[in-house]
Amino acid sequence: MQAPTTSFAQRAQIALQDTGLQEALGRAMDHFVHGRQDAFAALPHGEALRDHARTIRANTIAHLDEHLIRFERNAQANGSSIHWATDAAEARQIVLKIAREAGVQRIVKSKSMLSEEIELNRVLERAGLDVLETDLGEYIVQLAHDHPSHIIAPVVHWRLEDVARLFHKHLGTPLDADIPSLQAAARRRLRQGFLQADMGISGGNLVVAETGTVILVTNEGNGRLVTTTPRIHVALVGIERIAPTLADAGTLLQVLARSATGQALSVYTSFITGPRRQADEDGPEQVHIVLIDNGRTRALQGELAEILYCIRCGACLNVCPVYRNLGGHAYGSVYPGPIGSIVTPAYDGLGPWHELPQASTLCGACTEACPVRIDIPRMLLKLRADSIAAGDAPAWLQTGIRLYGWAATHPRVFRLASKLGTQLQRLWPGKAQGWTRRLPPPLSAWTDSRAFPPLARRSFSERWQERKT
Amino acid sequence: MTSRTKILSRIRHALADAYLPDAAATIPPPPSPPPFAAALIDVFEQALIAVQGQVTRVENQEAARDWLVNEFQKQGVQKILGWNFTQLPVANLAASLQALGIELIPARLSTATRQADLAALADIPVGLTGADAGLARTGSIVLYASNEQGRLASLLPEVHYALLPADRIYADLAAWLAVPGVGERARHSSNTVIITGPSRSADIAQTLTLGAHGPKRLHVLLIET
Repeated sequence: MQAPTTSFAQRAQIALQDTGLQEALGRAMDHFVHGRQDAFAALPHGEALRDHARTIRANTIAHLDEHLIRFERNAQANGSSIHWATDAAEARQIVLKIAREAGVQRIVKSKSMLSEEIELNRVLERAGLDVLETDLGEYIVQLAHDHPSHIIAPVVHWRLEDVARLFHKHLGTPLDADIPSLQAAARRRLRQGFLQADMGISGGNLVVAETGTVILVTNEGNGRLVTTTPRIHVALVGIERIAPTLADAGTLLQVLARSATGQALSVYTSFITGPRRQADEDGPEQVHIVLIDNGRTRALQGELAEILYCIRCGACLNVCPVYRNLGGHAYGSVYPGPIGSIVTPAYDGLGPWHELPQASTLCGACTEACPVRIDIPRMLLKLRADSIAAGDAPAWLQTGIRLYGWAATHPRVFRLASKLGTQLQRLWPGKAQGWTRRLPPPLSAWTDSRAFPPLARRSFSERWQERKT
Repeated sequence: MTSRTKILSRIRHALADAYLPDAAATIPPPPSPPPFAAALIDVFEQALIAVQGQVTRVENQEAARDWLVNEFQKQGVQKILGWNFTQLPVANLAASLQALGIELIPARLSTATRQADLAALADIPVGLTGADAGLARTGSIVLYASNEQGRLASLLPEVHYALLPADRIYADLAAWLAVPGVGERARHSSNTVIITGPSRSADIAQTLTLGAHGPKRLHVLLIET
């Protein structure tokens, strides 16, 4: 994954000043949060299903190798071809080779964050192939040369007027077109793509070991078209996204859509079990499933393995106070939000991504929303500790924490320092509700990106002494 | 070493040190929800309406046929993309529709003329299929693909009519998957789709709009006996 050249604080600053983004986010985030809450409120055994889903994910990862082997055997028995890719480059080459061998020219794609992760489009286009994104959001992203900012809603950062302007330029719709007519224009354009494509590329929300099935969930129906009209279907699947049985997949599907969009089920849940059988009316002639590692086995080793329980619903993004204020682009990674702040360094190494675990208040809303109750704050703290140990933190912070540690273990120094702080604070200008907005260097490094909390007028130890006497 | 061997060996190596909280020795049976107070057919109907689907209840096969004939006549339908009409759970349906002059077209793609076949099917406005199961809690219908049941019939047209006998309605996804034989059927069918309402998107400004790529309108005809 390509690491950004700017700092997180710089990107956050840009996001906060982007009024269009703020407007779009303000509308979208509550919509998602309420949808999820209502969907679970309507399910009498919702909490028990979440617990069950967590057990399924934990057990599956604990025997990942066995499930993958079983999946491979059953998928091959259904006539699917299985490919294994250790990293992004190998995955891209596999897809390119399938396309070349089958004489493919036109490709349609349904939404796949994994294809973003391995930067597939760039390589296919460089090889002279026509690639068309067919999820409405991804189509907008492709036309505008943008990046998805949410793993479920790629253009959550776009307003209606932004889309209208883009479609006016590319599809000739009026500048004041309403949403149904914009969608109709996209439907007409993309329908042509479906009818002419030689190859369809999809992701896979899950694969099922017991039956060799790829499960694909979409609302628009583009996932069904991508895997039905072209003669070749290629599914990109992360090695962790496996369920042992159809019943297990059923449990995960019941919590997935509710967490993602607040739907009881997505409109289309497809079980793809091999290419069309000889007598079948329609369907692809070939089904290829590419099982991709690309850092997942690296994440599996050690204390971050729990992140592989994730089923990519995006609920943690919608409740995160940081994501809700910044949107996805500020993170600079393919996967934004709380989950992205773990996935990205866990797959790719902490070095270029050491700022991401800091982009959190550790409030725990993510874990509360997570359908499989992943303990995100625990892993963010682990990554922060690793980052400090690796010397990634800036000097002012390292020195500051060392000084604080020294003072905190020397009571007299500590008491003196806090008294001094309380006095200085009273005289210092520029406070908002007691919080200090600006401090002189080197403390300005702190106040550049956050306010400094007010020091209590009387310290805890003073009050403790009083109580004792 | 192949990539397959490499990945499997990396997994085994990593699992030795992996911290996997709440991994139990076995996966317990899934939690079972309390039974519905209302009849499944009523729950199904409410749930489908809640996702902008349409439902009509008919008493029996004859009533279903009459309703369809009347509906298609009213709409001036000339072509229907569908499953094998002799396999639909309504007797003499094909003959009745053909008597109206309606052309019944199977969703068939042949290997040699695939793209031409597709182009010919793309603009048929109405699709007609059966449904192999209904899921009450979510208002979903389940369709298997086979030599009689083309998947394009529920996908390409702007309107999709589906015929569902009421005795095929199960409480929810879990209850249906637990029915003996469902797993086998799903394994032998190249494609099983669970459809929950008409095609939709909310990608533009989080505003729900129907008919993104699939049918704008989904109408389920519930045959009560």
